[in-house]
Amino acid sequence: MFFTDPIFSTTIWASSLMCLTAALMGVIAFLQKRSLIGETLSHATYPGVLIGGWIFSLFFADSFLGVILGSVSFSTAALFSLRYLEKKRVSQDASLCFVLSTFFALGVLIASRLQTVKASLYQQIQVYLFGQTATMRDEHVVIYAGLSLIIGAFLILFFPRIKLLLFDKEYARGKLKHTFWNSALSLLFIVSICIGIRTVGIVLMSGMLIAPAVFARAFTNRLSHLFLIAGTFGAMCGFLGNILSIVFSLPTGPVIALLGCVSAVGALIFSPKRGVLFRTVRILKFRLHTMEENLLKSIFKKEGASLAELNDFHPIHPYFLKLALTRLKRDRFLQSSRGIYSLTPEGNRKAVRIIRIHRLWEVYLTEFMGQSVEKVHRSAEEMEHIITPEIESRLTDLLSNPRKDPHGAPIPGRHDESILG
Amino acid sequence: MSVIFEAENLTLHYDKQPVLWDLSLKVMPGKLVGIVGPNGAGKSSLLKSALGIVKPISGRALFWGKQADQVREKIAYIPQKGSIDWDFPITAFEVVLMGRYAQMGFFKRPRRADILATKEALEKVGMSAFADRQISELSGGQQQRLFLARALAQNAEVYLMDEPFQCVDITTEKAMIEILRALRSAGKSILIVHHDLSTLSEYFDEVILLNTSLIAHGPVDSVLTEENMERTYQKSHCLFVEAKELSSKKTKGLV
Repeated sequence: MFFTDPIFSTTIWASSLMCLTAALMGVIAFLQKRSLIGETLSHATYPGVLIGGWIFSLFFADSFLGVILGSVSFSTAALFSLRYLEKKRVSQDASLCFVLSTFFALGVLIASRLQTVKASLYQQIQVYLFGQTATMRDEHVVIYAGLSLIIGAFLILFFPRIKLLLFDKEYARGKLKHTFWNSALSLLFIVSICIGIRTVGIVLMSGMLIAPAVFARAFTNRLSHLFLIAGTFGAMCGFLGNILSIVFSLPTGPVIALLGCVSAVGALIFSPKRGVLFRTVRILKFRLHTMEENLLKSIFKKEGASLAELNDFHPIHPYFLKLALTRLKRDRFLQSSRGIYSLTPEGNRKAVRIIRIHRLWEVYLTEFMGQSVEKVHRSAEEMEHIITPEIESRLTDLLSNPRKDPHGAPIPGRHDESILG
Repeated sequence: MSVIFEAENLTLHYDKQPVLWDLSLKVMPGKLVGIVGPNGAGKSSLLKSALGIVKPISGRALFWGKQADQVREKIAYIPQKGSIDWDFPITAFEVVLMGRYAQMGFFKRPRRADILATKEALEKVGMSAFADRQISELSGGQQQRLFLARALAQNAEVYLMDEPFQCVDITTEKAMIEILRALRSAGKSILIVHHDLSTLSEYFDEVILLNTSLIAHGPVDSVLTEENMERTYQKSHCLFVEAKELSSKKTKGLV
């Protein structure tokens, strides 16, 4: 029923488009590692929105253009203040805080004045604080959508330039007009904020800038895909957020921002490559792997051991110990008879290799990194599980295949079956 | 032969601390030049001020008599590993493709020639198999070779490299040196910030010994004298810096 209603349909599409551009520009800030700048620049629009709206309401029936001009100019002023402070060596987060609170405080002062002088206008303008799409008029929709499309087209046309500029500033020097492109991107960033606050609101704007980038980064390693996913995701949040806000008569901004941020957190948890969930699984697998290798090592040194003996040496829950032993037996690194575990030939080779890497690493630390002999064991305990055959061969070359470790113990050769071999 | 790179009385400060002091030198074409000096001697700063990335307070650095920005497509710069954002969503292929940037048209869309040149450059450094990897998934040595490939794709005349052998295993280092020697034979000049003193005479034609000011510049054997090395790596230089620092603090009223 909402789709058939002409008022809702145009505004919803425009608002989705606004979220899309915010998401695209947010990717840029995210990659520049300046995610918080959106927060500061959007809060800085507040006095601009009020002053612009106020001035225009004196001359025109619709204060809309005043709001846009005001917000763009105040946000730009905030950006210049940030640059100035950073040039004066104020740290980045301090200057972000400082500029945000100064501009927003100014806005709150003006708002309280406006409330007493011109209450109706004050009511209208408060929409920008938390966002509201339903009250957008047709001509606003056209302007917002038009600006969004311009930003989108700019990004698509000049994508290679933007990529170069974002990835490698120093390489970009002399290849493109640095100041021009940086200013262009900053201006578009500001415009996208000033468009976005109508839908999402000043207070929550930064969430809508960054959440799509965070979401998309969890799924891709390519810049073009990053923009595509973030843009689509932003638009979808805008669309769904609008519908939900109409159905449950809630303010649009918080609904969109919550949708965006909750999904971004979801992506951070469930993403296959970088997600917390799969990473935890990989960490647990690695721990098990480490324990298995340590077990092989101790069985090798003891030349066979019982479960109780092993548990003395590896004080972990017997359940995990049994799990590791079962896996090792299944993979035929271990065999057991009458409760005594001993190594198969393959298990033996594996244990010798672990000891070899341990001792090689100790030689490397003492000879090349200048560490004292007593201190190297700990690091070697860790590295024996980590070093790949490739690094092993590099180590062997670098150390010219040593035969003794710093403690005087022999280092088995690459294909040796036993330590003395 | 015409001079490729020339620095004239180059002086550079960071925070009122001198990093380069009245440095003048000339580099001719077809040379492999090592830049050597202790930490903080201004080696990287020499490259950066040559490229115009940092502005000297006096003097100038010119390539073929021009500012670096004007002839930038003829200069390839391989930055120090630490200055790259390795987490950036970009593949090895895309990084090397950036080398073709100057040749591309207004919208910078790669054409078949650019893609071919990129593939060739990756092939030369033995990285074809890793073209589609995201750059953080490459090993240290591969990462360095990647930026060498970008420089090759650029087809530059001068190569400025900031510690390209950092974290590179010995086989890769030798392979990279072979590539650089081939470039030198083709008349290109290569300036390399280098750490390993033991390989200086094997790798380079000329050495620039640097410790804020120029200690010596010339053929490896004539430069690597005991006296020069002592002057380069001496401790007394630190005193100069310390005193200068103290003086700048005093003038600012900080002590």
